[in-house]
Amino acid sequence: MKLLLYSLLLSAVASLATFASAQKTVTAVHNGDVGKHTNNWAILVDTSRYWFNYRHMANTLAMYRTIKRLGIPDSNIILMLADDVACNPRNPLPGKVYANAGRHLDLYGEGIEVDYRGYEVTVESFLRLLTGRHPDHTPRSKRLLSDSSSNVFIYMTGHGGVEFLKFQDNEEISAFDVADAIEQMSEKKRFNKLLFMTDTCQAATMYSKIYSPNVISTACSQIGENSYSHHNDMEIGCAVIDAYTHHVLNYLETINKTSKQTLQDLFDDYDPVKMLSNPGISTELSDVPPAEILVTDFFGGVASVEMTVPSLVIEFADDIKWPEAKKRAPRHAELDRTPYRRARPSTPQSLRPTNLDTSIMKGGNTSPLAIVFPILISIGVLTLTARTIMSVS
Amino acid sequence: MLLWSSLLPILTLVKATSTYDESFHESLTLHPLPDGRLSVLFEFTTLFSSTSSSRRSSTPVAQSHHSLTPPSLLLPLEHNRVSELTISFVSGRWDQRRTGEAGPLHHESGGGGGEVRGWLRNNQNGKPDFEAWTRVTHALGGLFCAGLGPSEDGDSVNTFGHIYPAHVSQTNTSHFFLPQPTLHLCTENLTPFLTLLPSKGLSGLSLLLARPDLVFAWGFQSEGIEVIMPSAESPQGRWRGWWEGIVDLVPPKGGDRSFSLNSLFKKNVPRAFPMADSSVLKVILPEQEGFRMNNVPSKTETKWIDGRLRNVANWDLSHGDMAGKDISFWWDGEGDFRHPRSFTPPTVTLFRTVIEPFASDGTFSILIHNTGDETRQAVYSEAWPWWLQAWTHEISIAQDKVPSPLLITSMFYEPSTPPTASITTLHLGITIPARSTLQLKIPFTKLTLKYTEHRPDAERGREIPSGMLTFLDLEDSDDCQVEVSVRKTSSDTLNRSRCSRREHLYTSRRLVDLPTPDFSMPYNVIIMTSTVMAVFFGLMHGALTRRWGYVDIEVELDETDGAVASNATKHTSSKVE
Repeated sequence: MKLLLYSLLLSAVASLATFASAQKTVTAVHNGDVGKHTNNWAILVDTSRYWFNYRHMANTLAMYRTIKRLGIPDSNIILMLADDVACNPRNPLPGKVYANAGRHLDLYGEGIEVDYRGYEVTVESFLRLLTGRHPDHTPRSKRLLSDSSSNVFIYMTGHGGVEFLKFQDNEEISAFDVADAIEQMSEKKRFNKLLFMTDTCQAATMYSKIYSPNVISTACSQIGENSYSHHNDMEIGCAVIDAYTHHVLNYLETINKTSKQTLQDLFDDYDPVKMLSNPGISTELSDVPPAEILVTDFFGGVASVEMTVPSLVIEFADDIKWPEAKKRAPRHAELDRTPYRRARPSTPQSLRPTNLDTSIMKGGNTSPLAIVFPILISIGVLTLTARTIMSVS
Repeated sequence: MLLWSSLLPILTLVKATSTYDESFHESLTLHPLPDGRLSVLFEFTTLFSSTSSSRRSSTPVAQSHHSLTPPSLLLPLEHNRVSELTISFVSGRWDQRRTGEAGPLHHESGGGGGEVRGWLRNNQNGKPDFEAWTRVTHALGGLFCAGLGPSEDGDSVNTFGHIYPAHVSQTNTSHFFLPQPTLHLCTENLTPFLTLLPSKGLSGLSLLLARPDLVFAWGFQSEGIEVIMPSAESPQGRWRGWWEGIVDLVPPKGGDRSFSLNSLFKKNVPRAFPMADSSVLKVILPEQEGFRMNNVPSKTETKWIDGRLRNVANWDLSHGDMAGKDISFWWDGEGDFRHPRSFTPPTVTLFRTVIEPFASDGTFSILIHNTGDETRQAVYSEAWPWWLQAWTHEISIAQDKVPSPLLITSMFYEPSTPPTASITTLHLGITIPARSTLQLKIPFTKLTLKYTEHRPDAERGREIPSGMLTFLDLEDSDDCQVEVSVRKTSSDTLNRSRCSRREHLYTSRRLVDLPTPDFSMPYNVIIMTSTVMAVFFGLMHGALTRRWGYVDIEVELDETDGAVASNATKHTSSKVE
């Protein structure tokens, strides 16, 4: 009977110890991954309806095509189109949308998934999408299922003014709404980094109220400036794309999935003369400068792989020659520590992993006695306590 | 040996559970219409059944063993206890007078816009399970990139069960009907449709359909699915997808109507889809003489289609020898096509217009023409949003402009419950005498919507669903087949309007303009009210909480100035808080 009790106690303590070490490992992995992202999400919103706003739909669809080309799957793109120009009776080219008068590329193509269309594109549905507050029956395709390892790209285009953007023809979203929704996203850990891009008149005012960390914003025009269309197609009968989006897309056409171009390169490519307005850039909310963030971190689906760190590393004696095993341990340590240092240079010491966590991440410089001793002591104490209780009863 | 003997039962079990009775059939039907156009219908049918193992469990579908059936379609239906479900999207208007046909080739196509209808098992209390209906419609709306689900609770109705009876009768089920007249079709609806097919638009007939640039240039489009879920009572399930369109055969600058598969789809006969049990091209041969083709059909059959006996040519495409060939059709000696001045109308036609359209009122005028020799029994049904209310006591019916109230044999009316979102449903039992024109008049009133209840494009108006006529007297196919055998021995032309499988005729959807306010008015009112309140309340507040009076302020003059030192009291008026 006593033997059984002892074995039970021993197993309980052992499982506790294992759980504790697992917890530390998880913490270590989490801390070590700060700055990385493992998945990409994109929300592309055209807020304008009616045929004469063809260019806003073309802006959005051109961006949709580009990010799909760079690797973000359709399941991770929420496409919101307030109207349908492709199958509009006015479209002389049914089922097709072009963003250039030369009609080199059909943006509607064959495989397209519009998640919110027509009357579904409202301020409410957009804010619900950002904050994740949906009715239970909302299908998966209409939800932003991002997490703390997601890089989220939000692109909005439409007609706007100082600190607002018009949705459809009857309501507006304010810069404060956007800022608060992004703050909720931040609190709910719905993104790792967020890029907010707007192409509308007075666009820089749309991001002026954002106050959440790890958000980079850019827009086509400053306060007091309009956003201008780029060129018309005479057969379609209206402008087909806006100048800012046209130039951003031209830049993105030059890169592919393996590109090492950074956001700073994108911002440096901005030309106010070509864009007909002075683009706005806001990076002060991000700890990481844009020169250290790849363009494909937002516009592509190139995510880093999450490395799980072994919780227990066996150290081999010197006389056994297993060079691969010896090399592996420091490689893990390097992989985990390097991005951490790069990503968060200003992180205070208190937020950094504890020595114990780091030692686990590094692959175990801690003496095994440091783990075994407390376990043995706790077993002894528990055994004594149990015996005392048994003797009393 | 021992190992093998122990593995044998397991392997047998695996084999037993992995063989399912699934089959896939595809067909393409071409139907030349008298006005120089061509009706094109793709149909993809998958038959599946529940397995013995899954029948023992509570789930009717063989989960995790989908080979031809799409799990993304069937699992939401299964989880929400759906027995049968039909989704239909229609873009464009079907013109009965020009096509000579009463409606699209596929009879399950609904009225204008989108609609979802189906049979769901009741909830535990034996009542209609609206929550499950909401869940399944939203899930399929996400699948088809369309807002199919009800935006509010009262958008669905339960009174159309007798209009759309179940294919497989089951107890303890309820019918749901949800019209979405604003929906239309576009590439984003075709993409998921193709994804659901086992051939994915990559092989077989679906390869011809995977050309959105072509099919969306067609004048009329209809897409839909119809699913019958297997159950314990009937283990055979079926899901069918259809896509239909109308192609203009005559070139814009004139010419003949000759066409071929390549001219229609820019592709020859595609390679057969290996998993297809049958792959058939059907051509409903025109009734006028002179129609020719360059390829002899595998077989020609005779069928009753919309009350007329038609010859249908069939080509079996499942044999590899047809792949890569083109099949051409033309009319002998046809020069430039001359548009006919008159068309033979279908036996029964249905039109709905709004007469006396005022800002607040109007009257639906429904014209039903019966050119046949038989009196027909039918039900005319309408489903209106809550803001449109009919004056049911003023409903009138006239036969050839003579009032004939006795032709309305029954009436079912379920009013909406304004101002909450709800649907008014009206079903009128009607007798349609032979060779007559009925005019049904339904006066209605449009209620005033609140500012927040208008659509974003309020000035455009709002669509209301199609009206529908349901025939109650169709003859079953056996009786009609007897007629076919009779015809073979006699020279009479047979025109039996009851020999048809088309149960429903639809009007087009209707755009109803609503009294739309000037939306700046609320802002004017708010600003005006605020100003009045501020001025009035400010004055009153000041009058009630402040008082006017005199305050003594002692002014002490500096003695060093040599001025006369004195205590001067200055009376001044100031506000005392």
